[in-house]
Amino acid sequence: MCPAQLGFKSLPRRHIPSQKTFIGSEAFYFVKSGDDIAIKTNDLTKIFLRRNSLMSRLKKKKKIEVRAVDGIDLEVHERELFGLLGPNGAGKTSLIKLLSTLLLPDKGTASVNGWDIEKNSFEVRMSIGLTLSSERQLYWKLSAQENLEYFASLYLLRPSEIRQRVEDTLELLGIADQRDMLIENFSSGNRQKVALARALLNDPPILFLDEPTIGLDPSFSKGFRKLIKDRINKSESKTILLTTHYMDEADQLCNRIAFINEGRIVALDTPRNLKRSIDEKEIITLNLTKASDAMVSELERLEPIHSIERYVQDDSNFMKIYTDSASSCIQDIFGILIKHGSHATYYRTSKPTLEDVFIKITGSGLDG
Amino acid sequence: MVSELSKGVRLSRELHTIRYILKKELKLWKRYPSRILFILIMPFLSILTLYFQGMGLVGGTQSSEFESFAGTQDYLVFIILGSAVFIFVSTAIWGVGNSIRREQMMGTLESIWVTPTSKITIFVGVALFDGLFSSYVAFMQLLISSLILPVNLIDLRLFVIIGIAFLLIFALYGLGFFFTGFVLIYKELEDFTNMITSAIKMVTPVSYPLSVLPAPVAFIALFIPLTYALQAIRKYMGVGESGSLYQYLGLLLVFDLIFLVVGSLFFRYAERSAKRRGAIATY
Repeated sequence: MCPAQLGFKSLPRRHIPSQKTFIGSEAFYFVKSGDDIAIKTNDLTKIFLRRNSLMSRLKKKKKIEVRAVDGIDLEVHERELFGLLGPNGAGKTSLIKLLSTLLLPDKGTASVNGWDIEKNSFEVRMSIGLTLSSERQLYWKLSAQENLEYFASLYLLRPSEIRQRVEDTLELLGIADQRDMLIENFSSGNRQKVALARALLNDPPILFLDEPTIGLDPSFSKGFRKLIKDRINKSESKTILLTTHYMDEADQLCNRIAFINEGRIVALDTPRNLKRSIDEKEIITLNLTKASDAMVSELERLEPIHSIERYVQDDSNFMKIYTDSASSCIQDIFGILIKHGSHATYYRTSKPTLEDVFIKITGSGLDG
Repeated sequence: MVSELSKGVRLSRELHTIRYILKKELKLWKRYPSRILFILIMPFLSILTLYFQGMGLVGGTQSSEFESFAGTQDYLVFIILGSAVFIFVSTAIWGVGNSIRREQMMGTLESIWVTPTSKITIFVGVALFDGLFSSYVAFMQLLISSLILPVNLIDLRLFVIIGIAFLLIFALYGLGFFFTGFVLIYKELEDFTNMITSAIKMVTPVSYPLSVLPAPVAFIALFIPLTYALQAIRKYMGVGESGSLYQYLGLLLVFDLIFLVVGSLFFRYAERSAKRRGAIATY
């Protein structure tokens, strides 16, 4: 279904001269630049000062600096579905909050739809829709329709068109039959759909989706991802910046992915190119009872093994062995484990995934 | 031309938004039936408490003893008027700041903050809802007093009382801005609002005339607009107060504006500070 069929105004954003332009009265649509960059950041930095305990403050200890976003340079193109992939606390949500004007940067600049996030915060907010990872971003004691009508008014839609726009977004997301149900009676998945409907109310060219499928069951997540990709990104031509710590989600959805770790972008490319950046053809993943340095050194001397990464995930010792051929070295590997008094409680061989690339670059898993 | 047009349209849309805020607040309010019971019973409770308090302290609704320091014998009317006007101040202190706190706790504040609607519009919408609520409670107090107690406050003078109370609006918005800013920075509001509500009630002539207060405490009351609103209303109603009505109204407007300016400046500072510290939605 195209935007026109939904009754949405067609909102051309390209081939417009580089000046402030007011397009249409329906959604106060502002477009500033004619290039195809939807989001741009330059050395964007956000530092939080962690509060000390009362005792530390009495001792006049300095506050701890946390660089949530650390000098990020990024360009996201129009109609691109761009993923920020990283573990919890990597800085993904802080970056989205900076871009959506909920935070002020400490250094650097950023523009969204051509508008500076500090100088033109109104125009930025007119250009975006945002869903947050929290389940409680809607009024649970109001129905879906009541929530959306209220938010449509906050997005400054023309009053006479609010009801129709709400109807259109509910239809688009397949929840029109639940319009009168209180949010507290919705399933988590459909609640997330209402949140997405809310983000689409003003027909923004840019959507920020913060962990859109967190807490949803796998089968619902699959359908929800399809909705984001096919209906919102492709049919509705929205630029989407999505954060996730699910590698499959990023792999399936995104045109390009930026790995973010400790506030910095550590790699940025298409999923395919990121996976190609690992030369090895196979990866053996082992969960070990113990892993000594001597054991690792011996393993590294085996001919088909290129490299070994050790990391801790959920308090367990993991090892990833990058090799050209798992079958040619697996017996030798188990022999060395036994020799060093260790054994694998779990192992698997696989082709490189985005998580493997992430681990190879950062030395830690996506689960932190 | 473009920006002028957009500003005009924006203003008109923001005015419509206020209507939707009122609708939303009313719907949320109605979804908790205990609140309906509360507003039906509360005006009775507060007025009867004042009445029985008068019976216990001065033996009725009039007191010559009271006249010696308040300038009127009409003890009950004096404190009913004080109580009715104080409801507006109390709601301004508790209402808007707490409503922002509620949005924080519900998790909806960031969803609101990221919309293009001006924070002032959101603030005015919520304050207007609170103002209507206060007006209802104050009117009910006066109505109940006139129906079941030996006082008559429901006549044409009511419009003047409402008019003077309405002049408090700027100060109330100033207080609302201040407490909203306070929520954004310090989060927990209850203890602070309790303290400020009690302090304002203590230093202003809500339940007693200023003449009973020690001079330094009465001096503080001179910087609070509620003092002048109460004095103007009582002067008009002929229950105490020796000054000029116009002087009271003039001072009320001056301190109204001071409260509004200081409150809104503090709110702007608090919002920027919260955005710097990433504290808009934190608990």
